[in-house]
Amino acid sequence: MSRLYFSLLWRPGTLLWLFWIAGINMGFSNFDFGRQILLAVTPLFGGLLLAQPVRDLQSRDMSWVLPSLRRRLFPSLIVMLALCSAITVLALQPKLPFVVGFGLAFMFASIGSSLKTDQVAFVQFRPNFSLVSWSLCFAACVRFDLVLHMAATLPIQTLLVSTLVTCIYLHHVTSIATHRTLMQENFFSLLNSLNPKALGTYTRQIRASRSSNRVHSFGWVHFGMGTAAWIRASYLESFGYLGFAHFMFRFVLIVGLITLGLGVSFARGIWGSLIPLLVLVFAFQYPLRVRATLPRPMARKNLWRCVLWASWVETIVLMSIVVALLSLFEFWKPPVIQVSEQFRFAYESPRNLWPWLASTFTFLPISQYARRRYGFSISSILFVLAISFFLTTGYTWLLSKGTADFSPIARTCLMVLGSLTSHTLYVFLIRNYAKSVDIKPNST
Amino acid sequence: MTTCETLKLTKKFGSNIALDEVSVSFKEGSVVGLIGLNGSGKTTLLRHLTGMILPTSGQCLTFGKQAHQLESPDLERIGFVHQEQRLLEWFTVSQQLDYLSRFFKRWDADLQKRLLRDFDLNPKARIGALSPGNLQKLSVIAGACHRPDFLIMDEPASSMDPIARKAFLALLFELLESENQTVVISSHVLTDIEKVVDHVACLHQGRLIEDMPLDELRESFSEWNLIGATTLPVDVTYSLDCQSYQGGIKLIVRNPTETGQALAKRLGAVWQSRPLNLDEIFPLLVGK
Repeated sequence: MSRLYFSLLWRPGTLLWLFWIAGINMGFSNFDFGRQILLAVTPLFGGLLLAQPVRDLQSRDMSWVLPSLRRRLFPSLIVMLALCSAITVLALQPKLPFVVGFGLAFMFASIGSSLKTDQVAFVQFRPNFSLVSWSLCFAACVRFDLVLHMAATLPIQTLLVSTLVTCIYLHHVTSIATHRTLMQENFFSLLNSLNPKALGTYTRQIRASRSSNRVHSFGWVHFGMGTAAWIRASYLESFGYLGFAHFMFRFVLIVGLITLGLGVSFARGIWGSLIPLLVLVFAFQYPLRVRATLPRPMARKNLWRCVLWASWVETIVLMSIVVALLSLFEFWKPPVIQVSEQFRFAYESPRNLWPWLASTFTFLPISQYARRRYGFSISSILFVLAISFFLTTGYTWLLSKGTADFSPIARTCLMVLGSLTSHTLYVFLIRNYAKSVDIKPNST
Repeated sequence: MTTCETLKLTKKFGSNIALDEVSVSFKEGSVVGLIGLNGSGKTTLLRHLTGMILPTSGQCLTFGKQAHQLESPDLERIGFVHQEQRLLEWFTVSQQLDYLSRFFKRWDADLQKRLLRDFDLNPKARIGALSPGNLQKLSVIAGACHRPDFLIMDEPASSMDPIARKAFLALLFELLESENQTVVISSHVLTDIEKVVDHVACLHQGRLIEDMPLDELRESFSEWNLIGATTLPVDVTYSLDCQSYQGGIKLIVRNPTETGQALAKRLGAVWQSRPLNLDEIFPLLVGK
């Protein structure tokens, strides 16, 4: 039990795979092909996230000298991956014997774990192993119909092969040699570990290395204490010029690629549900902010006004980008790519997208509030993810199907009312927060 | 006239009581040394003075207003040097100071230039690459160059090298030339702050256990050397510490009820007295 506890609760963030499973299931549930491919994708994501404690260990100096590290890690990791695989198989009920389905899922979970522990290092240290993993994974996902066909016709052989592959990957995940070779890349390895401290360090290092000599070009003889001045200060202190470009680039790239990738015919159902996730998580991760404890005369009143206005700027920017990208792909249709007879990439306009957009706009303030109120913590990430999946989905259902009998005007009124309520509530919450919170040193 | 005062100020962080009914006032023009062990509540008290932290109960008044309701013009009159100041890491030193200067109506550019030179701080150095000591120097410059009426410094020199500390003290002396400037310094380097402070407030476990002028504090403590004495009479209750050595005894006394000469006469010994410095007084205040 202690090992299980170690694996599960060392990083509560490892439970994130539940959200992935929920989200992917929601999107693919209407598609037979999607349901099949979940047998690979879900445990793969599960493996990626459940290997987080192992990844954390790798990131600590000299962790590889811990006695019996491998012996201690191995069973708990196996238990967690087996649990993930069993849940997936039971939830999906594939047309395969349970043992064979479980074997396949377990294999993908192991590959996921391996990819996690090797995610950055594959370029530097283990190019061949990682290349094989990624290629195998990609090929299996693209032609998962073949994998399933083989599993259905040759179950014993499939089970043997998957067991062999699983053993190799699990051996790799917990191997001391892997730990030893990866110990020098702490900085990068912590990049995706949902570790607030590590992310803080990363951000500081990135900013420290960023050149910004534009202070003079503002031409502010004196900032004054107006809200506009503080917004400009928050813009500078959050990103700087290059930082803002970096932020915009990342968002446009991610939303653009996902729009293209999930706009394909078989995956249209998932697109809408990912919009809130993307926007809310971005707003959570990259808020405009001012340093509250720089030695300057910033009153609490300035602080809350600044936070409020910065949130509105964020909302406008993020929503505008999403709408602009959707419009772009609407008018410029990407080319069709035929992979196989039943599998082709052909972008189609997402259907009924406006409820998802309205839902995103409505719940965006909650993400912004969570970030400012609770900071970058695992709990607040989970909170935002839960909202991204469940509340937005529920609200979208209400706007689209729950109110199907309503007239368009009534539905629009409902949508406007919902948005107004959440944004007004946000104003009061932020105001109350700024009046009642202790400003911690270096908080923003 | 009082620059800042706290009235029965209590601050709790969960079940932990950081400040327990602290009532203290900082008079205009005074230089107060805030001393105490680690975790005694010094930083918490200082953060209350600018309204960064809100009291659980009691009041904190700065310039006659509730500290958390201070407006920007009031805050412009305050300089705060944080213990671990996070500045904008991607700026250079000069950019950071230039940026901060724009928030203030008055900014002494000459003082900035001189302090950069005295502290031997490279204006082109990137802040993210500065050592903790250099960061502290920069924080002191950033906190002092707008010539605040009320300067609060939380461990401002703990990471500085001896030469930088000397420059820091010189700056303090210069600031003190202004009659109306109030300075509160929290520091563990007591030998340094002793040179500049005129008032001492001591916190212990969240309680204010001492609040008096430094001269008065120093006068109340002394070390008596009774040469020729062998034992101390039981009625000498004002003695805080007693050590015997071959040929006499040494006493640490506070507010003695009789003169040293009288005691020496009673014991048939020769009396010598030595005042204690703040470094020696501090452990006695906190009972260590």
